[in-house]
Amino acid sequence: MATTSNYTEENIKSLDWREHIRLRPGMYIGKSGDGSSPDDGIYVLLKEIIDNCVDEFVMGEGKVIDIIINDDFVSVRDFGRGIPIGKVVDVVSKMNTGGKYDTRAFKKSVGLNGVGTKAVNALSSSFLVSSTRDGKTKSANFELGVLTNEDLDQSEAKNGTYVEFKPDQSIFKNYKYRLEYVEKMIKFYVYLNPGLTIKLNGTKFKSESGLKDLIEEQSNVQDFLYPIIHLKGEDIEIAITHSRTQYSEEYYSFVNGQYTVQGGTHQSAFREAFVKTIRDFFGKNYETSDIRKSIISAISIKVMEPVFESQTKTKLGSTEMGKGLKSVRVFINDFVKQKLDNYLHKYSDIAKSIQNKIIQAERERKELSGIRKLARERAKKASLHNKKLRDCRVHLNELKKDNRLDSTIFITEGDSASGSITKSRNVNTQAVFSLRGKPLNSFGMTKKIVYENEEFNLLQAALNIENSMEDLRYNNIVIATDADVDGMHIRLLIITFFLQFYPELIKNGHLYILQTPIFRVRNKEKTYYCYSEGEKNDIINSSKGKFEITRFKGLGEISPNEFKNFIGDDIKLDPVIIDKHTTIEELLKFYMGKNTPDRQQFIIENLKVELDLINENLND
Amino acid sequence: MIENDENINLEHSDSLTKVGGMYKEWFLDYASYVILERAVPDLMDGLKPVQRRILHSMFDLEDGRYNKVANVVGHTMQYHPHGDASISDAMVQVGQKELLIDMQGNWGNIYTGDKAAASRYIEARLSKFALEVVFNPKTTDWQLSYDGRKKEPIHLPVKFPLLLAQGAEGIAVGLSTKILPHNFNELINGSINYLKGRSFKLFPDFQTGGSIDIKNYNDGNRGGRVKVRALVEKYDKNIIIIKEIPYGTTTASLIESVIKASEKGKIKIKKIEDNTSSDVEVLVYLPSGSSMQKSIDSLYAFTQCEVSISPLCCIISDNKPQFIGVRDILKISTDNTKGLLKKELEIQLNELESQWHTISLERIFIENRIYRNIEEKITWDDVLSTIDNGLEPFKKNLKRNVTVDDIKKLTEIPIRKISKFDLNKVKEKLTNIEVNIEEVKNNLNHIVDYTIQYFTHLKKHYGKEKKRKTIIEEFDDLDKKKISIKNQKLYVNKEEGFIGTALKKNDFVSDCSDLDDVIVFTKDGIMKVVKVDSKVFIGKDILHVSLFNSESKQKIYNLIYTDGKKGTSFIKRFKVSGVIRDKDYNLTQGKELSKILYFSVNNINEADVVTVYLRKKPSLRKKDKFEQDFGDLIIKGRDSKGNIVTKDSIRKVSYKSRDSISKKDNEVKNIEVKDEQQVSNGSDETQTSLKF
Repeated sequence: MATTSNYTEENIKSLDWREHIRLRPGMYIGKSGDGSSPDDGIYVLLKEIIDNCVDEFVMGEGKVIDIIINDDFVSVRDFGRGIPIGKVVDVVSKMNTGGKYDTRAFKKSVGLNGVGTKAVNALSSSFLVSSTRDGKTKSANFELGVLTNEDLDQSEAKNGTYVEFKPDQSIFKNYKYRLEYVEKMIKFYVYLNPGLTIKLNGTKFKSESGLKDLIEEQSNVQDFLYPIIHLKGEDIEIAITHSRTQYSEEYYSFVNGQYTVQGGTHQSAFREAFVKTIRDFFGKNYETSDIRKSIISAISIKVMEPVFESQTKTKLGSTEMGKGLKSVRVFINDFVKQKLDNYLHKYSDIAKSIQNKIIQAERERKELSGIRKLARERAKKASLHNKKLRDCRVHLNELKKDNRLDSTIFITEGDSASGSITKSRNVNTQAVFSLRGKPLNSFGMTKKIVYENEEFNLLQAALNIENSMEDLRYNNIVIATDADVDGMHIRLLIITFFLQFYPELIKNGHLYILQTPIFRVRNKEKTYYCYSEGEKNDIINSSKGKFEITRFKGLGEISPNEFKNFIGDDIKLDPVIIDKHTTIEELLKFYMGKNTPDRQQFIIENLKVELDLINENLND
Repeated sequence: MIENDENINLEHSDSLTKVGGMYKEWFLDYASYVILERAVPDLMDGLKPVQRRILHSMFDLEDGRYNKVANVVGHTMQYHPHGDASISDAMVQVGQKELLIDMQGNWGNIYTGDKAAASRYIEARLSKFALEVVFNPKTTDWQLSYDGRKKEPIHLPVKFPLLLAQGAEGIAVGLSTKILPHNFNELINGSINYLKGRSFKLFPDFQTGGSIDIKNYNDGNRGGRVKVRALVEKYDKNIIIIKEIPYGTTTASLIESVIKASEKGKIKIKKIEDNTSSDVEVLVYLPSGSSMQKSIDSLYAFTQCEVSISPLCCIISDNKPQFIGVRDILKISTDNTKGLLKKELEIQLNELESQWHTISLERIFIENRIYRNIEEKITWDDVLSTIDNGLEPFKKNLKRNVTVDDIKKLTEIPIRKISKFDLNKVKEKLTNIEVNIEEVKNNLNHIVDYTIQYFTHLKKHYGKEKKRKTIIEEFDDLDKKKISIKNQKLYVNKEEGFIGTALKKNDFVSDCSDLDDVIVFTKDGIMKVVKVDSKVFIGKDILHVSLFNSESKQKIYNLIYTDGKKGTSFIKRFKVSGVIRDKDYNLTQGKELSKILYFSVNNINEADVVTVYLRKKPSLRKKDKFEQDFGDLIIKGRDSKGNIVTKDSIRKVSYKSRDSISKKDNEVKNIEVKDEQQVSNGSDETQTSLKF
């Protein structure tokens, strides 16, 4: 029992900045991931670099940013002022070095603590920075943050900074940049910085109308109840509309061009101000939830020396607009109060449709109140013990926990997999919710069904999204069904449920499909798991000998110890993404609605036939 | 919308699938599977996959004895990767058709809807019919079972229109199928007629009997519709007996429907009893004084004693769902049977010829003592070539070439056989085979006759007890409105413009049933026909409400209206027939603020006479009132414009008298002629001014 532990000076380590970043990347870039999720680390790296370029634009220099991305290689070129030649190496490799400490130069910027580029440097297997300033170009190469080469040349190129990097494979396993996510990120930049052009692999992105463009991009214009209200002022820009079909509130908030996914003081101030203005305008004390129901809005403000609640800068903590200035709350409230009120007076038809929406929301809420008693009882029971849920320890809404972004819930199909996932999961971050049989087709139903149907009710309780998306308990909602046809059907039914009642869950990129291997190929020495016919054939062709090939038709065929491989570090997730070209309503109506001749035709024309014809030799 | 998705996905193949693409892919996966592998039967053998696999398993297990159904179900799971309950349900259904499965134990009751006993109790084996008609491993094409361990038939080589005999029903994704069962012997007759090149007809026949109206059967195609009735008779005074029930119902469901109708007040009954034993017997007791015929009609009209079935023949052919008529199915099935018989004959012929060849070779080998030549040969090759040489002179008598394998076989002949060789016996054997070969060849040459023979044989052996059970007849049209009991009261609130059965505080119109239609006229010239309901809004200021039935279609409506606020006034007399429910019909010319000044309803032989009072104007030199006889007008349709009464403003129109029309017949005709001569505005035939 009494072992003496060697706790001496040698145990106390003072980490080099590089080592620290590499040891605890989560502190700097959130989670690592492989690029299948928009909040994976490789996108944060890219963002850190672009942030600096955008800051140059904000300062009035460099209207174009040129980005090239191959699968694993990134280069970014801006045409700003360039890093001062003498400090190029320091800026990317010395902690707490940066031009933005001097707030006079970068009063309303984000990347102010000078960690960003260094993190990129430390987490890249190769990193090149090169700055051109007045006829001179200074370049520096690094590997994993260690300087390998320096150069100073004469140059005729335009002023600006060029960075290229290759994220480190040992931290970002099997990563690949998904251009959809990069595009979305770039679009956010151009919406927030009208006048800025960003080129991605040659494609130009530019926005004229800022946040208005953003909202139009995020949702389907046909779904808007009225044309977007777009208000601009000094250091603030707001865009508002209501959705016809969506139930919940949807906000996009930004501080100094930084997307604050989790909102913060500015977003809550806006929500409060909107309610207050609407109440005053109509002179009626409408319920807060009725006023905000179905709202889709974006707000962007500029704050001096913003304070965030984490290094990833996803939640604003500042209460003041800057030292000695108004509080964020008062600033936003004053602006909304004045501008939105004026707008509603000017456009009475829009005011009218907002009012109708509120009244409709009120009516629907009262309709629901009939079953609220049942719902309350259920909620009480579920909060005591949610019988379909095996929870994990870390949740998304526990802001203080490091790995909250890893929090995951698996929605599994009945007895097929819940047992083995439960057994093989990481109980810190992975929860399991098991469905029994096929869930209800919720297409065309009202939200009442979420209260009436026990399964949906418990799912809602598990996710904790009854009142607001902000309380969501898991960052990743993963549908884990069998890879057979009934599994496909269950996927459709669950996604329909989310599209119908919680589309913003999907819009915000929380929903995934778990990919499980289709084949297990094994011989005496080794076992391989293949996710496609091609992979299987590759393995069979690459080595000799006889293989036993098993085709997995259900998750039930996978043992818990095998399952560990499929939901661990190498987990394969397909994100569920809404495409702009399809309206949710049309999509659901076509696939989940009543039989139509069109659909019948569509099915017959696209029927998939699979035949396992018997081999000749078997016939003998 | 869907096309778009695809294009976008194709552009950068490495990109992520969007939710639209996911829906498309998964939906098609699921739909394809349910259509091809679950709900829809195949044209070739008429079976759904689960049925085919059950039958194949039963054939696997066949040893002449009964097997426990649970055991068959377990065996079937080697081929069918689904739950046991769905398989045993499917098996019971096949059994209950009483064609393919020989059943032991309680297999449920199709009349009462009683369930079969648990599958561990009941037993089954293939019927003689099934063994003869459904299986033949030699003519079966095979595929691998789902886990790759077994082989299972792609189709069973069914030599009978099984699908039409059993019927089928299935709901898939995006489509469904409903094929009604037909009579065994009629199907065979149909096949024979088809083979003989004659035309034939095909109508459904149900195990449950009853009667069927096949007027709109439409060959079982989409859009067709048949009515099926229970056999309902008078049993005693005030007692009705139901002896056979319609297809798709059970006595339990039928009784429930009668009780429901009685609760709704559609029919009046005292009680209902289920005395079903081996035959259906449901007794309906009527209250004393009820009309027997009317009660029977009501049973047909409002309960499951008459059901309407919409057949929809959808089958899988070449891995695609197809919609096809029952006669086409029979033709294809008959051709298929012919093809299978031909294949069987060809296989038989081949076997006979091989047999003949082998025996002939042996005979030559032994008779000519060729075996002696090989005694001194040392090498195997020498042995073979020696035999071959020995055979050479006789080869011309053979029908096939002699192969090395043939020769090898000769070396394996046991000595015993050589010593016992009896030439006469072998000759006899060969002659027998030759006769058989000739017969098979003859059958092959006359395959159509052979197939007809085959069908005749089936009919003779298995068709004796399969008489038609459902009587084909044409049903009288039941006017539901007429037989329904008027147990509701219709009210109207004229000012507010509502009618309905719930408006008890308002004016009573008449008794009605909830099947009745109501015709309503409002002051601004709108006419509407609606169904009776608890409360319906028509439009403010209702002028007239009445039930709209065959009787009221005979009524004549009189109308005087102003066109627009101060426009010309028109008069019209019209009948109403052929209207669409819930549609607004404008009786004026549709101008705003048009208003009806006078409205009344006449029987066919009456006409109102009214007095028209004009608004006084200083300039008006004419009389300020005149009479107007509706009897002077031609009866036209509701959308006619009418004749001009006056261009002046009318103060009021009041009723004067109602005359019998017959006395004025001649007069009317005269006016008609005159009118036509006086058409002033040319083309518009309705705008005819009357002179006063």
